[in-house]
Amino acid sequence: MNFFETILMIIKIGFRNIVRQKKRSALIISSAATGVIGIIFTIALINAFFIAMVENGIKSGLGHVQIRPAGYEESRKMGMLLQDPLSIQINIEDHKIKNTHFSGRFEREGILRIASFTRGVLFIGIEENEKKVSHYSDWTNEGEFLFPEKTGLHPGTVPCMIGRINAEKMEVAPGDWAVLSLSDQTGTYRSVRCIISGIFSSSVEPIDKYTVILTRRDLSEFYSEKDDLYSYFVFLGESLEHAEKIKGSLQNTFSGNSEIEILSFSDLEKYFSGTMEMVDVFSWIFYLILLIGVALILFESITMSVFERMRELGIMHAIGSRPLFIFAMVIYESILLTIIGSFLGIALGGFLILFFNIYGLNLSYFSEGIESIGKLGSTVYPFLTPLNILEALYFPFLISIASAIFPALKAVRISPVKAIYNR
Amino acid sequence: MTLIQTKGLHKVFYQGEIAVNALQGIDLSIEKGEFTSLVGPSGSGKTTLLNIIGALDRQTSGEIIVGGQDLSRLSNTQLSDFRLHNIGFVFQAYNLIPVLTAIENVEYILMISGIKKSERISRSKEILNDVGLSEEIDRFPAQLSGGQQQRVAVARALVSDPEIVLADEPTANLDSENADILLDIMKKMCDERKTTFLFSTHDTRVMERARRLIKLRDGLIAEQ
Repeated sequence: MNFFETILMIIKIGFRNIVRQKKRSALIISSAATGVIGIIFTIALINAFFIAMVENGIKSGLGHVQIRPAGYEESRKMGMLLQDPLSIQINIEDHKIKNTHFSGRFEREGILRIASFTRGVLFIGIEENEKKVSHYSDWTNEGEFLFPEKTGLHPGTVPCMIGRINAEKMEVAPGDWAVLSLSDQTGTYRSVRCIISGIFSSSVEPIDKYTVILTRRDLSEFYSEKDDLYSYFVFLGESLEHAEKIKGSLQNTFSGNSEIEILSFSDLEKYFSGTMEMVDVFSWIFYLILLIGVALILFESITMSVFERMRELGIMHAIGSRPLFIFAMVIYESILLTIIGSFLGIALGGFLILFFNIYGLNLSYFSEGIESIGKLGSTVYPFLTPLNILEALYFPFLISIASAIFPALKAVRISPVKAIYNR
Repeated sequence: MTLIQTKGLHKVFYQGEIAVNALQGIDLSIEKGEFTSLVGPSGSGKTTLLNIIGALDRQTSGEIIVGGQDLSRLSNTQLSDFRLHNIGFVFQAYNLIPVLTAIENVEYILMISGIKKSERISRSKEILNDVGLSEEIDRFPAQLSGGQQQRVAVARALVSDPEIVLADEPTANLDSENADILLDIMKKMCDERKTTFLFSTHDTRVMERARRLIKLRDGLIAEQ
């Protein structure tokens, strides 16, 4: 038997059988399409979560690399301060890394309050270069960013920026004031009046709720009456891919300094890979359930198709068709139907993903849950890579073969006499 | 030259727990080029005997040698090949492959025999022309009448030039005109190609054309 011609005959018979059994074919194609839509949409959402968490993390101040006090990575204590920050700063400027910006920050926990509202927040003291390493400047959509610094403020007041959510809760606008309180270096509870200079919207609810921005110098003086306190320096390069390169370059610059440690984005966001692994596990469980459903429908439909064609298959046996030919024919029909369904699923699912990629998928209904998985915005933009599309085709393809093995063996074992004479 | 030889052929079926003796010791010898009819009432064992001779079924006991091959010694795959290269089948209910056109149904046998496409096409067209279907070669079985479908089945049975054609009540579903056409075609093939034809039938027209009649009753040869 000529191999190529045999394949062509299998393709011909398989295709015509699919056309002949329209309802069954439609059922298999639609179930495969549904499965693939589910898979690619899940993959696209995971991609969106991943990118949103990384981008929001970077934009909200993590940057690509940070210089922190030694021991920070292990203890994660916010109170740790950089020793001799000015010499660090000079060193950085002396060994400038191409296309990389940096800025210093000082952070403390405290309370934001007015008469009717109180919330525990993180005070972030920033410097003028902040607009080159984070997006707070871009996110300021009411009032003004802290820099260039305002002059002529009432003595004893400091400028600050708060998030949109807090501004709405407090019913304040730029120019209004609020009170910032913290426990200072000596443990004394202190407060300062802050004039709201600007209001920012980051699209990440926890950032808007729990962040108050001041100048680093004001926060440093508020905390210790000195203006030279730094918690860390943050660096932003061209892209996240350059983070390790920047880290390496800084490690060279500060190779003899044991009082600091240099941490890249992945060092700082260790929970991030854990979260993604968890999401990955859940999505695999979801795929599995989806694929089992598709496999059962395929299995039942192909088995029924074999039972309905008993006589025809019996005739093929009777006139001398090889068992392998009949086996391949049944498997091919299953593969063909699943592939048609998969491509349909990719087309429909792709269209759906494209729509949400352009207009965004608003997850605000689940915002409580989103807070718990980090810096995910309320709106995400699902997307697919060509590799994702191949993944979405690969599993249904395997399922189509696995589901058709039993019916194909059944077709091979048909007794021609029993099939032809209905015995 | 003896083409088909059976000795003490027995076949027992089980209907639930009840044993049915379909064949009870058939001794038969058929020469090459014979045009033979198996006749007898329903349940006499005609179809069972045809199926065993055609390597579609296995005997319970006894010997069967077809074309020099002891069929009881062949595996299922070898039986498949044996059927492909030696036997042509014509069934009562036509039994064409519904998704293939008339010419494709005929060509299919040649394709699985490994014949080249150009030869397949010319042989298929020629045999379909011989059975009077040169205009209907691209029609699917559902687009053909019963008589036309049975003629395609005969063409399929004959196209690979088998030594034996087994026909199980081939005229049962045909009107007189179509039955006569079909029998004339088969008789002509028998005469021209020396193909051995073995029919099971109740049809007197078949019996009239047969050179030899074998009467079966209760799984035994009652008269030859």
